[in-house]
Amino acid sequence: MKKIEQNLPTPEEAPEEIKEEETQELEVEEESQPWEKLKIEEEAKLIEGYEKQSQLDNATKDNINNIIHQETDQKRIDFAQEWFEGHKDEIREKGYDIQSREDGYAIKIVNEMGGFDELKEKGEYKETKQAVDNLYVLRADLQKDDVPLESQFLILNLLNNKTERAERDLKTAQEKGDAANSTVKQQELTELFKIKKELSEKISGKDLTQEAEDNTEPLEGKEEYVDKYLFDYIDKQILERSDWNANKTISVLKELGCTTEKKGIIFKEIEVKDNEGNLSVKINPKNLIQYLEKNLAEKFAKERGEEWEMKNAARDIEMKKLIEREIKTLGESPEKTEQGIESIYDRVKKRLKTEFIEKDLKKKEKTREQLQEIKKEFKGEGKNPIEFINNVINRDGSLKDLKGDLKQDKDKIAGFLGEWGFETEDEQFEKFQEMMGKKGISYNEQAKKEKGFLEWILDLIFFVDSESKKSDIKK
Amino acid sequence: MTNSLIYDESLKNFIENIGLASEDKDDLLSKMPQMDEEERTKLFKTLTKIYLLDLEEEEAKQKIRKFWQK
Repeated sequence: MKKIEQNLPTPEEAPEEIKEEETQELEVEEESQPWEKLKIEEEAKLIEGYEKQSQLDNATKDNINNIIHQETDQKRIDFAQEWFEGHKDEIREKGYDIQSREDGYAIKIVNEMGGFDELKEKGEYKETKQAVDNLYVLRADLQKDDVPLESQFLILNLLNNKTERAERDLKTAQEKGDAANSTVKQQELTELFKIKKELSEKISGKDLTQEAEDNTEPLEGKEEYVDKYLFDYIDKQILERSDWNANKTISVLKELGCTTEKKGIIFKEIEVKDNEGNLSVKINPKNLIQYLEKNLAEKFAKERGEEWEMKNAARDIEMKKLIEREIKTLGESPEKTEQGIESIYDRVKKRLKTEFIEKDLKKKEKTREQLQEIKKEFKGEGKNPIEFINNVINRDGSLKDLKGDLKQDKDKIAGFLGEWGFETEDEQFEKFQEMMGKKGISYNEQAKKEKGFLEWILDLIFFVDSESKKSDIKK
Repeated sequence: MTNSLIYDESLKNFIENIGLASEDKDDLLSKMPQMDEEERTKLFKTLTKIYLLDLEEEEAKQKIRKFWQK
């Protein structure tokens, strides 16, 4: 794999969005006039704050990262082979051998002929370019503390595709009798299953093993299974049988590999001999059960133990199939995946609504006078909050060229709020800034963020409103 | 003067246009007219969070459509 990487195009060929992300810090440092151009920083998504349990641990991230690496290499190998095939004449004219089509050789030639440059353009190979770019984005997402939810679904999609390929390869290897390759593919499938299961459990919030157990026929523990069989056997063969006699006893003992001899006409005693013919024990009907329990237990421990092992293995396979089915359903199609994302978001939104009702809504009933007051106070021409929020997030109108410095931006913000009917005074701005400063929140930092800036603007509006009310009361 | 973002009409508009289940919207719409200023401010902040989640959700779905591999 390392050899392939050496021949691959350099990191400069990564898609634009990755390059920007990696170099962002450097650009900020080099900026001579910091407020000349306000860069909006990427913020953690809200959903990740509410669904922390869906985050991946570092070991899983490393495993997935290795797989995406392999996928990227494979995409480039496929591209090199495709390009080689389509440019055979040019390659021959350059004096290269076109008979050999080994992957490493194809990559070397395509690299030397500048073929990989075509992968940068959205031309003939735009689909391959898109696929490689997507893998870069997933790798970048994987580096984040909170891996975006949709990227987790996309990684699952990638792992499902890889599983299908590995299954096909395994079948081919088995058909050819290629034991070494079969083992490699088996191991790959086992590893893929482990990662997919963990990822699916994080995404769905389900315990897939428990769910599969609940939907599979239960199986008791090995010891319990053997004991139960032994007791059933004794019950049915001996205790419940009315035709029990010495001959039956002897046949059971023979099953145990003992030779027996009846002593006495009315079956008072049976001599049991071992395989060498030595007398091992004398038993009578009274302690027969005890004797059988002890000896049959050894016999059944082996026979029924093996039977249990087989049943357990079959049950494991059945459970694995159920888990695989669940994993496939989660990443089956873009539509299913969208549904999965939708249900997670719906769950969080509902939770927020419920929390508001339970925690923020006052329990005490309001008086008739209070309700009349409320009716009067909140009546009037309303605003379109969604339009307002969109304007703030998108920095529309007067917010278009904010610099990220309150001294410079204050008038623009006041102008924007004025357009929306919110009057602000300089003194209120100063008071608000002082209050936010005490909370450790700076405008300059918030202005670089979408959600942070929105929050700051909303806090300002509610602050100004409350200050105006205080001032009205004084008057 | 009271912040017009928390007027009945504004909040009604907000509730009706965010991605909540219809029974949750109906529940909020029925309770909202009785809420005082403090409750309305908290409701507005909750609705804002829900709306931001709507935007995120749409972004996530678009990424799925763009990135999905057969």
